[in-house]
Amino acid sequence: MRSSDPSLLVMASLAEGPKHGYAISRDVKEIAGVKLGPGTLYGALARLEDRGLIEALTSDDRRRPYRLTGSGAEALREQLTDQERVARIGLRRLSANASPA
Amino acid sequence: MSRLLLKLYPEAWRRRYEAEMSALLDDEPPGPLARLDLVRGAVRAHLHAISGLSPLERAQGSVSGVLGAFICFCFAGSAFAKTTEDSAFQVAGREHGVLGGAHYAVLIAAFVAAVLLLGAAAPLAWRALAQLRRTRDRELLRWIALPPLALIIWSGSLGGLALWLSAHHHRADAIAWLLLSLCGVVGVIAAFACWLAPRAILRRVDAGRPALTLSVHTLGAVAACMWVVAIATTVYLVAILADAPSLAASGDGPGAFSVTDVDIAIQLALMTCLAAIASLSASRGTRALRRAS
Repeated sequence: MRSSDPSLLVMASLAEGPKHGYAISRDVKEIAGVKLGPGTLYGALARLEDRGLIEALTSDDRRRPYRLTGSGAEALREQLTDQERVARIGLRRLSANASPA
Repeated sequence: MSRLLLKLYPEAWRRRYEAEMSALLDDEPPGPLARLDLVRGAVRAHLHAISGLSPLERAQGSVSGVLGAFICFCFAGSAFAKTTEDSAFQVAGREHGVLGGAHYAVLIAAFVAAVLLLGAAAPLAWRALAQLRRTRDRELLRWIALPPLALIIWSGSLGGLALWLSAHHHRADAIAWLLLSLCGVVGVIAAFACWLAPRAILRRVDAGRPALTLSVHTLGAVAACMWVVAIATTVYLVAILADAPSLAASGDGPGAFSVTDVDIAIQLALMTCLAAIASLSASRGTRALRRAS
């Protein structure tokens, strides 16, 4: 998953707690500056639900909240740790190249 | 407008997500880009089945998919028939064996596909009629009556056009083109009705596994015939470029505004895409039925 991958962004948003579609969309815009279109957002939600990484909660409202499942939290942690490692190495190399020889 | 775009999503998808998506659209009215995103999402939703559906529901979805692809394929096939209807093409077909053979192959495969489609529809239609007889469900009756009614209206519009043309000595003026366009619009609406009605009927009728299995397997054969038509059209295009280049470069369409080989290439591209969609849908249906057993 890329850092701009809609699925990853949705999972990162749900890491805070259960949210419905509109709340996820607003949160993703805030944390990543990415505007997820309604088709992309629900495409990601369907894929994640399909893979058992998130689950829908019951609701009387049309706005149905979703939350991360245990395996979803695990997969997110793994992805973010990988990305953090790559980012750390990349930044370190940049700093090393930027410093005078 | 956005509510209409949600109708582009597969039936199963709408059952699961339409209420939520429509709430999202209420909270955040979509602009042009978001509408485009909805269309893209609908295409993806058709290509990837969602979970939470029973295998039989997935198989029903695949029936809709193949039917939709076949109906669109008919438009591309009709365009090919119209492009190659002039006597010059018949003469070229007689002179060049490959050209003529490819044309015959297109016609035969299209005919076989149409017969197979009727064969695939028969068990489901039988179940629907049996349920109608049992329940006297008026809504089901309306859906069952819709496709024949739509086809009768379309045939009537074509008949009316033919009568008008014959009364006006086949004059190709603005009124003739207007009437032809109206027939085209009626044809598109009729095609849409023929696709929509079986979806609605399948939702209301307990199709049963044996009938669904027979239909899905027959639809697999329909998809194979669509590939044969596409391959024969490819051969036809290559043969016309090689054997009858002047015919390939001749004008096509109203006022010869287009070129024959370009038109056939466009028709071929459409046929190939639609045959791929039909194969994908049919194989998804077969997989779903295998999982159900």
